[in-house]
Amino acid sequence: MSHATLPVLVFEGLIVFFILWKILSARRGRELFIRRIPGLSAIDEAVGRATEMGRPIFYSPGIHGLDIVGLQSLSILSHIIKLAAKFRTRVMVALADAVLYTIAQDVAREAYAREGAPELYEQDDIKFLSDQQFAYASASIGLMSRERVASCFYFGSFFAEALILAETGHHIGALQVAGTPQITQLPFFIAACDYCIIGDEYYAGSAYLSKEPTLLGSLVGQDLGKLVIIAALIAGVIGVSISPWVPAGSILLEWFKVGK
Amino acid sequence: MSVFERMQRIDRRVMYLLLVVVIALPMFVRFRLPTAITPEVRGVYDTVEAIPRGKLAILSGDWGAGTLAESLPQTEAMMRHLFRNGVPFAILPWAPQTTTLMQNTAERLAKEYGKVYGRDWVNWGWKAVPMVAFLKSMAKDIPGTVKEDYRGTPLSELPAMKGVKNIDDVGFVCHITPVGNIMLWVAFIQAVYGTPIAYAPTAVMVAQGYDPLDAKQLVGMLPGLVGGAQYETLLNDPRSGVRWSNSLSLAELLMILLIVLANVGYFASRRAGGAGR
Amino acid sequence: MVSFWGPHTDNPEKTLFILGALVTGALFIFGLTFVPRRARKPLIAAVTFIGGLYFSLEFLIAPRSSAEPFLMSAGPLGRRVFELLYSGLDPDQNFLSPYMQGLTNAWQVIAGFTFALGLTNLVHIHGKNILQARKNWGFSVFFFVGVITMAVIGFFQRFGPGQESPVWQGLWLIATDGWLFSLDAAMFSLIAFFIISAAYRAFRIRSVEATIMMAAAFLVMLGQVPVGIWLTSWIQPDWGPLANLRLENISQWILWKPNAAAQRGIEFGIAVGALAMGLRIWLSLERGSYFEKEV
Repeated sequence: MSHATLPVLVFEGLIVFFILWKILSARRGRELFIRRIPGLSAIDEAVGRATEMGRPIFYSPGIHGLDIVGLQSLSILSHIIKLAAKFRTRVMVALADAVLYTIAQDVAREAYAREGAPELYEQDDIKFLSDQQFAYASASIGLMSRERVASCFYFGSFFAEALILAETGHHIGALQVAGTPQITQLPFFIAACDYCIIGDEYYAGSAYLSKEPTLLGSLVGQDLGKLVIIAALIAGVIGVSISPWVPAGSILLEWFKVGK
Repeated sequence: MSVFERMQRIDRRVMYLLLVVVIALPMFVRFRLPTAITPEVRGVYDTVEAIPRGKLAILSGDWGAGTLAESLPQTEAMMRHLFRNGVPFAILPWAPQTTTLMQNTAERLAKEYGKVYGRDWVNWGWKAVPMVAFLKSMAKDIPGTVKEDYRGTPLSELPAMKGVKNIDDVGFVCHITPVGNIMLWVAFIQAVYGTPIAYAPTAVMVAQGYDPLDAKQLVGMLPGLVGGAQYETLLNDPRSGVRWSNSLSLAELLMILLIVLANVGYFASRRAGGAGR
Repeated sequence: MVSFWGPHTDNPEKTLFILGALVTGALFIFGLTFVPRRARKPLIAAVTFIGGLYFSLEFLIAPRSSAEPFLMSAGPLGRRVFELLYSGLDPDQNFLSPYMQGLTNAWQVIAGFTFALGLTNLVHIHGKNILQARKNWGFSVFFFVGVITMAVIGFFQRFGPGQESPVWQGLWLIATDGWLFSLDAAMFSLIAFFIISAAYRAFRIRSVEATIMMAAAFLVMLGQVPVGIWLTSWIQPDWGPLANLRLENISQWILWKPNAAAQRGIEFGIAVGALAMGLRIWLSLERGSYFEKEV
C-alpha cells in the first residue's frame, strides 16, 4: 500500500487520537498504572550482579541502524548506563551501525554526566564492530568472552546472530536480559536468556523504566488503540460469519481489503 | 552423580560431536526418505508453471555465504524450473555477495541446460539504493531504474530484457532471503500491481511467512532447506536439497533424543528424590 | 572499463553540481554552530516536525486515482483543486510523491558520510592496542592486515587495469570464495551447535505450558523433515479424517492456525507500539536523557 485507504485513515486516526489524548491526560497529572514486566525489572538485578562480581556489562542494540527500534534501544541503554554509573560499573556497547554508533556515544556521555560521573565515560567502551551480521556476531562474542562480562543486555533488531550472542553469554555465565520486536528471534532468546521481553513490551521499555508521565500516557493510549483493533476483529469475524445470510456482513472484509 | 543426573548434564562438547557425526553421515551413506509436498511449496510450483509466455521472472535475493546451505538449494531449484520452462529471469541482488553467489549458480546450471547469459537470464547487479525506493521506481520503469546489468551492459543490449518496460511485464517474483523484508515486496508490488510473489526464507524466518500466505498475499513459500528439497521432488530432480535434508532429519532426531533423555533424567531424579534440574 | 569516479567523468556539470552541494552542505553545517543555544531545540523540533509531516502527508493524502472521481464530481472548485494539485501525476501519486525519490537519495548521501566514522573508530581502537602494546594486541594487527588486504584487492580487481588481470581476479576469488564466504558460512554454522545445547537446556517439562510448548516443537520439527514424514507414512491420505494424524498435517495445522494467530497478535502490538514511538519522536514528545539533553 503506497497511500492510505479510507479505513486506514479512520483507524490510524483513532489510534493516534487515543495516544495523544492519554499523553495530554497524563501530563495533567493523572495517575496511570503499568503492570510489572519481569524482564525490565531484571535490569536492576543484572546491573547489581555485574557490580558485585566486579565485571563489566555488555550491551548490544542489534544490527539495524537508526530507526524506531534503535532509538528505543538507546533509551534503555541510557537507563542502564545511569544505573551502572551509580556503582561505577563499566558498560561496553557493541554497535553494528555507524550512525547509531555516533548517537550511542552521545547517549553514553550524557548518561554518565547526568549521574555526576562524566569521568567514567570511556570512548573505547562504545565500539563500532562491523556492519556485517556475522562479523559483528563473532566480534561481539569475542569481546564477551575476553572481558568475562557478568551481565548481557540485548535490546534491538536481531536476526540469526541472536542465538550466537545469547548462547555465548550463557556459556560464560552471564545473566542475560533480551528484548526484540523480531518475533522470529524470540524463541532463541527465551531458550538462552534469563529474562526476555516480548512484542510491544519492548516499546514499553522507556515508559516502564523512567515512569515519565508522557511515556506512560502513550502506553495507555496504545492499549486503547489495541482495543480498537480487537473491536474491529470481532466485528469482522461476526460480519464474515453471518455474510452467507446477511450480505452486508462482509462489508468490513471488503473495506479492509488491501490491493489485488 | 547418578545416571539420571548425568542424563541431565551431558557435556555440550559430546552433543556437538554427535551433531557433527549425524550431519556428516548422509554425505557418506546415501539413503532416500519420503518427502511430503506442502501446499505452500505446491503453490510456488503451480505459479511458475503458469507464468504467461513472454513475461519475465525476477529472482530477488539478499542471501550470503552464511545461509548458503538453505538459500542455495532454493535458488537452484527455482533456476532449474525457470530454465526448464524457458522462462527468462532477472537476478535482483540486494547485497554484493548475492550478486556473485546467484550469478555463479546460474552460470553452473546454464551449462546443463544450454542457456546463454543475456538471452535466458540477466543479472541486474547490486544497486546501493533503499529497497522501497527501488521497488517503487522499478515497478513503473524497469530499464530506467535498473539501467545496466552487473557488468555495466545497458539493459537495452540484453535480449532477455527486450520488451520489458515495467512490472506488468513481470510474471513472477521469488524473494530468497534470510531477513524479514518480504512485506516490502507485498506492500509495494503485490498489493499495488497484483504481481505473484513467492517467499523463500531460511527456516528461522519461516514463521513470518504464514501471515501473508494465509491472507493470499503470497502465492507460496519455500520454507528453508526443506522447501528446496520439496521443490526438487516436484521437479523430479533430487539434488543438494534432498541430500542435505537427510542431515537435517538426523540432526532433529538427535535433538529430540537428547531432550527426551534430559526429561527422563529429570523425572527419574525427582522421583528418586534427587536434585532434578 | 569501470572508472573509480563513476559515470560522471564526462559530465563536468554534474561534477560541479556535486562539489557545489558538498561545499554548500559544509557551510550550512558550519553556520548551524552559530545558532543561539536556546533556539537549537526549537529548530530541531521544527525540522523534525516538517520532515515527519512530509512523509505522513505523502502517505495519508489520496493518490490521483482515488482523488479524481471525488474532486471531479465536486463542482468547479473541486475540478480546479484537482487541476492544481494532481495534473500531470501518475495514478498512484499525490502532489507530494514526486519529491520522495530526492529526499530518499538525500538520506542515502547523509548516511554514506557516516561510513568513515565506523572505520575511524575501528582504526582508533586497534591502533591504540598496537601502539600501547595492550593485551592481545596481535589480533589488532590482523585487523589492519585484513582491512588493507581486502581493500587493495577489491579496489584493483574492480577498477583500472586489474579488471582484466587474471592475477587480481584470482586474488579476488581467494579473498571472497576462499576467505569471506567460508568464514561467513562457518559463523552461521555455529547456530546449529548452539541450538542443540540451548534446546537441551531449555526444554524441560517443568510446567503445563512448558509441556505444551515442547510437544508443539516436537510435532512441528518432525513434520517438517523427511524422517518425520516417514514415521507416519503408513497412514494413507485417503483414510478420511484419520489422514490428519500424519505428522506433516499436524505440523501444518500448528503453523497455519495457532502459530499464525499468536504471531498476528504480537505483531499488532508491535505495530501500535512503533506507531506510538514514531508519533512521540515526530511531535518531539519523546522523553529520555538523549531527547532532553542540552544541544
